[in-house]
Amino acid sequence: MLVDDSSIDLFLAEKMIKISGLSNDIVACSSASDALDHLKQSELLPDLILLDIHMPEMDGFEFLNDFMRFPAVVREKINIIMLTSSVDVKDLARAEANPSVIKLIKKPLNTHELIKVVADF
Amino acid sequence: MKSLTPNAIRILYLDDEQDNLNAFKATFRREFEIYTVQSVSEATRILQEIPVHIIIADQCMPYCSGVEFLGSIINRFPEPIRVLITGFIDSEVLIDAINSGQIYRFVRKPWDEMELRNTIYNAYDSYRTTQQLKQNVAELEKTNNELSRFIYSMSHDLRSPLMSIQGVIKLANLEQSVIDPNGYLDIIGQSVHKLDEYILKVIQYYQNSKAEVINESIRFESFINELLEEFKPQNLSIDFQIDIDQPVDFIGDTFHISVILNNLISNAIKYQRMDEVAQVVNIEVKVNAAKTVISIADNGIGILNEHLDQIFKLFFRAKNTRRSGSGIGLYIVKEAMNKIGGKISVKSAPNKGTRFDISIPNRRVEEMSLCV
Repeated sequence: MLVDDSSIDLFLAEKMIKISGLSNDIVACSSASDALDHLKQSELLPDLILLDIHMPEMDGFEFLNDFMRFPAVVREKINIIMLTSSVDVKDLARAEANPSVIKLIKKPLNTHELIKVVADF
Repeated sequence: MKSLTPNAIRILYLDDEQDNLNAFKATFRREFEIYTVQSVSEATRILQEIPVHIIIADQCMPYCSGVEFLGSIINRFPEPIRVLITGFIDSEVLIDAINSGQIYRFVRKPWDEMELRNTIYNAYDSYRTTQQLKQNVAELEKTNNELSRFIYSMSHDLRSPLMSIQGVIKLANLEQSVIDPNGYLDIIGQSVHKLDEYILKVIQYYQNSKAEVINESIRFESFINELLEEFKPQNLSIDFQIDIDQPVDFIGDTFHISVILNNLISNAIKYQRMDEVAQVVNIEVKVNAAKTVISIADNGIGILNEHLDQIFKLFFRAKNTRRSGSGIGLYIVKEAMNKIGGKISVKSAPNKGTRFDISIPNRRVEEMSLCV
């Protein structure tokens, strides 16, 4: 699952992940609340969420707060990687420190890096 | 209580003799807004309620002298201008009171109406000037803050579309979907990279100027290796020679030191000579109980002698480099150095190379002496 308010970045990530062969089954959400709705309604949970930090209305950290309220069985199945163009020291530290986030990677998305992170987990 | 008249000069007059108070009021009541009191406690009550501009106090009062009273309220009510009025006074007391800033003027009793009036107007001018200055400083601080916050958030907003462009270039290369025999995508990529470097420097400048100094333990072996991880993969042709000698603990500010080393290492890499077969970046670290001395040297293009004293200036760009740059990096280095009390010097020879020597105090000494 991809969560990003930038339609260009969603398009890019979807294309690149497909080309890299990591996955062909991708849900793209253009806001954090869309993503939460999808997680609540869908039968099929994603293995991996690529989450942007800076989004209008609900940002990546607010998404994570809501995500923490999901049942543990759901949370355990989902790995979250944050993907951002931010270089704010506070943003980066908060992302690294969040218990739900396995890794923070920087835009532009590098699929080799992504595959390596996924493989390590 | 009567309401405050705008623009009126508000005066509090403290005197134990009712006759003086009455005389003062009779003379000046049409000109000024006057509060007369006979005791210190009354005076304090008025000061709490009413923002007076000028306090006039009689020196000879039974329980508390005028100088003592004016001195005692200076911290609680620093804004009003303080004037002392008296017939007799020990000149020593008066000199002390004026020199310690407790009193603006001294007026002799019985007062001359003209002189007292002038003193009041002068005191009010002084009040207004001080207030104006305070207001200006507050406004400047606010503008300054807003400006740097604006630059910071703008830099971040500029970055995300840039990263999208980089992403599109990557995707196009991956898909081989753009016919580009002249390498235009590559040129776009280089330009975007240049722009991004500039934005990152601006963000770094802001972070460096805002970051407080936090002292913690630094192991230079792992610290330098972590920094180099950022550079090594893109610069395989460069021989990084590291020599670290740290027999003692070092306490210092990780953020500012990493900003300094990052900039110096990236310069050492950037300003290599293209035709040099053995490109070298040499980093030496020597730590002792008082300080750490670090040198970062390269065998690159060097710096012209006439530029050496200018390289730390904001937006200075040397003319012989043919490299892209913002003219911010070394300025940030110098600012960061100032923050942590370090020193930096540079030696360079054109076409031979450049060597920066830095010295950063070891805060361990201070922490130890604090415990003693």
